[in-house]
Amino acid sequence: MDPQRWQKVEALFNEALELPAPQRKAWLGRACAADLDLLNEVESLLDSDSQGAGEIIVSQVQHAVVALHTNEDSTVEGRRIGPYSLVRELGRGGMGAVYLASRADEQYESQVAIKLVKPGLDTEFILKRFRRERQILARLQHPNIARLLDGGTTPENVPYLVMEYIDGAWITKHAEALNLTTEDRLRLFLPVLSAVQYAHRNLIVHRDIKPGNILIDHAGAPKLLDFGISKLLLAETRESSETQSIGMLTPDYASPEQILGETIRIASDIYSLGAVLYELLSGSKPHQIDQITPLALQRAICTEETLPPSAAASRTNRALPKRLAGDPDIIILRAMQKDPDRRYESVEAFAEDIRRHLDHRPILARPDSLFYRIAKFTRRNRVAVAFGALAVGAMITGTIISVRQARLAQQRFDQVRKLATTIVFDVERSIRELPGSLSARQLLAKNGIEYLDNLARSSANDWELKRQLAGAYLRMGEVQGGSVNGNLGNPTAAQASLQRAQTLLDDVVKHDPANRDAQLERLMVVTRLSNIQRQTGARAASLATVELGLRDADALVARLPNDMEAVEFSVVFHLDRARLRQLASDLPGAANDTAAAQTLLKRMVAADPDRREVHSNLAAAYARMGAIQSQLGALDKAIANYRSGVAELEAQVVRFPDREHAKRELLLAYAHVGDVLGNPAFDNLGDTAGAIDAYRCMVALAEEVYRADTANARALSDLGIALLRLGSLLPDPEKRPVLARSVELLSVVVSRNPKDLASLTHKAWAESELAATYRAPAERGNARKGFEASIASAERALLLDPKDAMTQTRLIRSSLGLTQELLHLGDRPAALAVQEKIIAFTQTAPANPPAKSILAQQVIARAWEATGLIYAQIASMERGALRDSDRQTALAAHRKADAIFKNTAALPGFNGQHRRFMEANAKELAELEKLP
Amino acid sequence: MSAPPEDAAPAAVTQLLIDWKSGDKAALDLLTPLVYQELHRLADRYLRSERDMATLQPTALVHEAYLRLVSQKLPDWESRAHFFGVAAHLMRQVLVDQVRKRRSAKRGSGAEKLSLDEIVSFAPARGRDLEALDDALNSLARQDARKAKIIELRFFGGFSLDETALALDISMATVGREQRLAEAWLHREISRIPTT
Repeated sequence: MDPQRWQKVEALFNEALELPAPQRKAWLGRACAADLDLLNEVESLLDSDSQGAGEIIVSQVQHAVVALHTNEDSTVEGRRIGPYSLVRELGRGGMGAVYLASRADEQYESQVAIKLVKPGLDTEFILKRFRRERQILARLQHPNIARLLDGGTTPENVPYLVMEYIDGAWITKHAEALNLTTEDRLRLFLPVLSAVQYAHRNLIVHRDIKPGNILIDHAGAPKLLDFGISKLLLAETRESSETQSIGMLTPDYASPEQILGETIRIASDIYSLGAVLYELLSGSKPHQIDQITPLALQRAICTEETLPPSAAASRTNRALPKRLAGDPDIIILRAMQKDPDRRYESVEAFAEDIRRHLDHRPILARPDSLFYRIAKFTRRNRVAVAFGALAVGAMITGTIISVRQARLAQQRFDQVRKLATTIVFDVERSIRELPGSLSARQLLAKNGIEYLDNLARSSANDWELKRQLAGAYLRMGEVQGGSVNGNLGNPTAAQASLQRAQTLLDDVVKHDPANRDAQLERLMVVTRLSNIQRQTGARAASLATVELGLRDADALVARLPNDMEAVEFSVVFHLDRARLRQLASDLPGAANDTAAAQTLLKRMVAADPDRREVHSNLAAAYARMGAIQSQLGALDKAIANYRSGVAELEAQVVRFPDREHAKRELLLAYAHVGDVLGNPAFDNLGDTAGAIDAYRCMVALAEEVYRADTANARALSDLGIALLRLGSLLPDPEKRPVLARSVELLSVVVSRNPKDLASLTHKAWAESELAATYRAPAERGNARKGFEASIASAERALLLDPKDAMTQTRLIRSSLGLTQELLHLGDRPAALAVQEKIIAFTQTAPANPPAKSILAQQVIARAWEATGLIYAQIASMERGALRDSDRQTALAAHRKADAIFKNTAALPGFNGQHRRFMEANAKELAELEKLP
Repeated sequence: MSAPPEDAAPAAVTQLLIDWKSGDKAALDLLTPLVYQELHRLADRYLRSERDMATLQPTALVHEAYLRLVSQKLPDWESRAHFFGVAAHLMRQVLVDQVRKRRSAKRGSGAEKLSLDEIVSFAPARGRDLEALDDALNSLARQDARKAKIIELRFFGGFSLDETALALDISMATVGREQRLAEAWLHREISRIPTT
């Protein structure tokens, strides 16, 4: 870039940073006029800046320094670990290193392999995995699995595993070195299968089978190593998130579902075994992987057809292709099917086919039939959608053409229709979860509709077809702008599709009023429609839609009083209307709807106590009612509802222990109870002791959730927030350590994810609470630093969301704290500078929330109040004219605050807390006015 | 390789600094290997010690090298700043060299049979990050040498904002502004999807 242009970039970058974050893009667009390159350049720099560029670079330098430390190869010799003494390093990997060691306290020679976590990388996640590996291995006793001998923790708290030391070569290299025949190689592989089969019977999936993990010992027996990333099958179903977050695996032998981050199961090991056998027999790896990028891997492993081993072998050896063509090809390709359901159903079946082949009996696996190949085209393209919708489009266009021809033949009509609905419904459902599948889904829905439309025209009175068509429009609407799994963000088009679905179902229901299923489908369409309307801000339209839905749902309930699905719709509409009314400040109306929903939900619980969705809806209804009542100022009613929510959720946690979400809801419910009982930051009942009890429950639960999964950032953040609430209410000597821990935890969360707004805001809060505990003269420096940290956190939070009233207030309060500290140090100019910044802030920032709202007005009033307090304090330290002018400034500020507070008293939502703020300011004002 | 300059060094290094400052360009060529060696030696010593690495900063190494290499008090801050400027640059080299060395060792002959616990990660290795940062810093230096220098002084040399301002003879506000742009630029460069 030429220097002039670079200067321009620099100037624009700096100017843009002067503006509040949300205004930058628009300003930049104007400033760059038609120069798109310039715009892109500066915009990308601003984006980079907003991602915390500085911290990332610092952390890279840090990592490099830590890496210096881990390069300790020459120092391990002779180091003692437990009763073992290290001999040399055998290898290292992503999470640790393996050392050869010998038992130091015994006469006879006994060598073992010791696995240690890499120093500097001992995050909780890896420690957890390490401990798990230890437990898993301890359960496995099989002649072909390397034994776990011992385990423990070094004095530096590094966990280690002691394993049987296998001094051997990789299975592939061993076979090559001895130039084994294909039969010998297959026989060598059978014990490997037996080992994996044994692990599977113990509900353990290896997950990382590769030649490097299969060593041949001196006796010539294969030994399977490293259950490092294996995991209990039972636990699998519960925490699916972790399977995706690991992202560490060996791509050459990884199954498509591993590459795509999907659930890993037995079939994944079968695939990897197939891939190892592929290499063992053919001498080639199954895929040509030239790059380890997610995209390249997906292409190679998930999309491209696997070359039969016989074809791969032709590259290296002339006789081999002939030997492998036939059974070995079929067996390996069966194990390596992309669709897990089409692989061998067990390792045993895999082994059985190998044995049959060796015994010259017919194998059970069959090559793919022609029919299957055609079907596979669909399947393969289902995976291909991650890369683009073109292939899918081509497939559908193909079916449409064939369908048009088929339409002439009435007897094929139903068959064709079934195909179309399959495409729209089944394929759509199956690709829904794939990243990047959106445009493909849209194309599917669009083509499906076009096609069903054609069918509908040719048979106007086919009600069943109309229903199916409506179903297609519903899918279309969801894809275009619904709330499920990401959407294309075209709400207008979505509404049109949903309205089309509604009209069709109206027809069906009119024709056949007793058709319950059609009515339920219609109600489903109506809920989607009202949601989209609400999300786009069309609240009046949304309310009208909800009321229509509510009327029809109630009519259906009147006809079928015991049909709980109908009742559920009535509940949903009541809760939706409550939400809309709450947004429109119709709090009594919202309360009525929520009460109605609660009554219905209790009926549903009575009808079927085991349906957990009903329980979670009931808990949600209590939470909503609590919020509405506390907004209404009816704190007694609010607390009653929050407590019912706590009781409901406590029961749920016991009853449905695998519903992780219930624990988090319970955490929030405890928070609400404590907040309403006695948290001075909110409108409250003044019951500090009760609030502390509630917060103690919150901390205990948060602690439990965090301990269960220390890698979970959300749990860490929740614990930090719980500690903050508890700490801010505890009496003096107890509170500081609690708050300090809160700050520490929230700092960890924020450093991992600088965009976590809630954690950042709470961090700012916790920092100022902690700062306020430093009152002794010797501690004042800590107080100042604490307030500064809090201000910095609040400012970062405001960059993410400038409208957040809680953060705005925090910024003002912490600035007030800081100015007081600065005054204490006698630094009047610095104190005033902070204060000026706050005044400037209140004049620009709060314009962002609805300016008339009570929250925004209270923020402004409290800023003026803070100004008044500061000047009053300064005045008390000055003399003469300076004192008088400071006092005047203080008076003016308090008066301004007073006027704004009084205005808020007339606004809806003015509560006891707001009144207390107003009165506190009035008191300050009166004190000042009393002075001469 | 000669022994680390434990005793003789301080006087020599101090003299070299003074010579360099008074215009003797050759003094820098003599100074550089001394500082580099010392940084390496210190890094090695840290590697062997049982100290908690989480607390070790590049700054600490740079400062320790200074204390060992330069006689008690240099005449003026400017000379000290010179020293740290050189050390910051060399610290960067030490770190990058280290990373390169490890990577090539991994690729080397013995690597394959060691892969008892080899796990290929999707995420680029940490070492790659630093190499990428180093490359990006070099490109930045071509575009805007001062900004690259600021980053080097701040992150590898442990210069504070005002020391950086003093060393480069610009205002603190300018350092802050330019550092922010440099960070954004570097981060953008290293986050680009690698094409190799």
